[in-house]
Amino acid sequence: MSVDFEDRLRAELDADQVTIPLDEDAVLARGRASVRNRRVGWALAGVAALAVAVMAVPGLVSRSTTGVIAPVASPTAGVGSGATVPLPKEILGSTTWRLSAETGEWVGTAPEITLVADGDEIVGNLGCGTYTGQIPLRGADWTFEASVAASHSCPYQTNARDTRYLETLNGVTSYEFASDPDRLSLEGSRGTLVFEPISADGVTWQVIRLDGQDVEGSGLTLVVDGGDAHGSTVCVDFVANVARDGTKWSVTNRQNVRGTEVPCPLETSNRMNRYFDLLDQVTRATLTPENLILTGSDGSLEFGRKG
Amino acid sequence: MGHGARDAEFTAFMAGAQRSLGRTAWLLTGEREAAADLLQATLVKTYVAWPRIHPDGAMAYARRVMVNDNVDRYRARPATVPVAEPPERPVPDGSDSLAEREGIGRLLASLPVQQRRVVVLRYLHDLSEKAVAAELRLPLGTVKSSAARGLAALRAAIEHDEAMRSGR
Repeated sequence: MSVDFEDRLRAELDADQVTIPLDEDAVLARGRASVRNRRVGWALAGVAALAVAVMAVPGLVSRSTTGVIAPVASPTAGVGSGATVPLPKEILGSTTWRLSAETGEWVGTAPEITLVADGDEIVGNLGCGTYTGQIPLRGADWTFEASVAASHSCPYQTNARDTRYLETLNGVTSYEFASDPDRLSLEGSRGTLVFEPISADGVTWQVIRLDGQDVEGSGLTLVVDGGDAHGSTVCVDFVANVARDGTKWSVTNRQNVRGTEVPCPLETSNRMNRYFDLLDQVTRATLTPENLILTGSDGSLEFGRKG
Repeated sequence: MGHGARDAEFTAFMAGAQRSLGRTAWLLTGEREAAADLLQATLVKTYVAWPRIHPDGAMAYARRVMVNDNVDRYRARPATVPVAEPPERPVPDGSDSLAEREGIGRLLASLPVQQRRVVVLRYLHDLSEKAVAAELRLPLGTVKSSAARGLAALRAAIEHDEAMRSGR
């Protein structure tokens, strides 16, 4: 690449003097709210005690049993048991949880609020934006940091629900896990949040955005089934393995299983190859009830439910 | 630090950083409203981290937060309310600049996100390849290949644009 072109590009970038609006008051307000949200204490004594119970009796977290209720403790209580595993991570597992009710009221309207374990963090979608938090280790606090969309573009009702959700989450002091069907309830002085699991498995996902561009009727599909995956393109089908740990995904051993009998059109072939390139470098997944977004180092794939 | 002092300092920082960060957001997203959302989300995170980063590292911190964010999320976010008016730009002076003809931001937006990040840091912020690698936590070789691919794609787009304009 010539130096001349690099210099020209610098000049073009420098000449692009677009002005992006900024609501400074909204930044300050949301910044203050985020700082407040980080000062949250969870009832570690109760959580740790429950960790022991669950670790000692594996059946408690199986689908065939119901009800594990942690004793409520004050947010400032000390650690009361010898638990060494942060229980919420065990309970959360690799599942994406969707908020289904809040203090008895159903709140499952789009855009939905989700929660999922991501290593030692939890992450999730809000109605407008996302949030992250730390899974509490023994003696530590849960902290949440919201990264929310600009207030001017967030509908009032959605914004109010996001705010109420984060406030309620920050007030949680105990939880209840029930199975068959799985339900996770987070309870505290500010109310109860009830989550139900959503799964990427068994759904035929079709690519709807590739490299940030809409692609209607792409014919690029993916079906995940435990550690296996398969899918199709217009020209070829494939199988692969999928490894998942919370939001961390990787797709390996992808192999074609059927070749096209007619020449694959160049544009279709290019799109298929790009799909495979992105699929092979996926490191992260974001799941909502309607969409699956796979992100890698060089781009992202957004899927919608097919059919 | 109390909210009052933090707010005062941060307001001053925002005033100085808005133009540079706003332009970076625009080039990363190619959409005005998405850029506004990315800019605001970046500044909220920077506000939270302010006691740790103030004063000298604030701009670098904010830029790092912005380029490492999932910028496509803002472009795809369904809750966004469309904004009718185009970005506020200076009136073209009749020169043949690509930025004035079509908008380099929109061309950049067609690149894969990693190439977009590398090109913006390398050629807007004039960071060295090594500095870009550190900022994005990428291998140096990946930065070099992403820059090369990004430049090649932009050059092809520009040449196509010029060919169309000349009627070839």
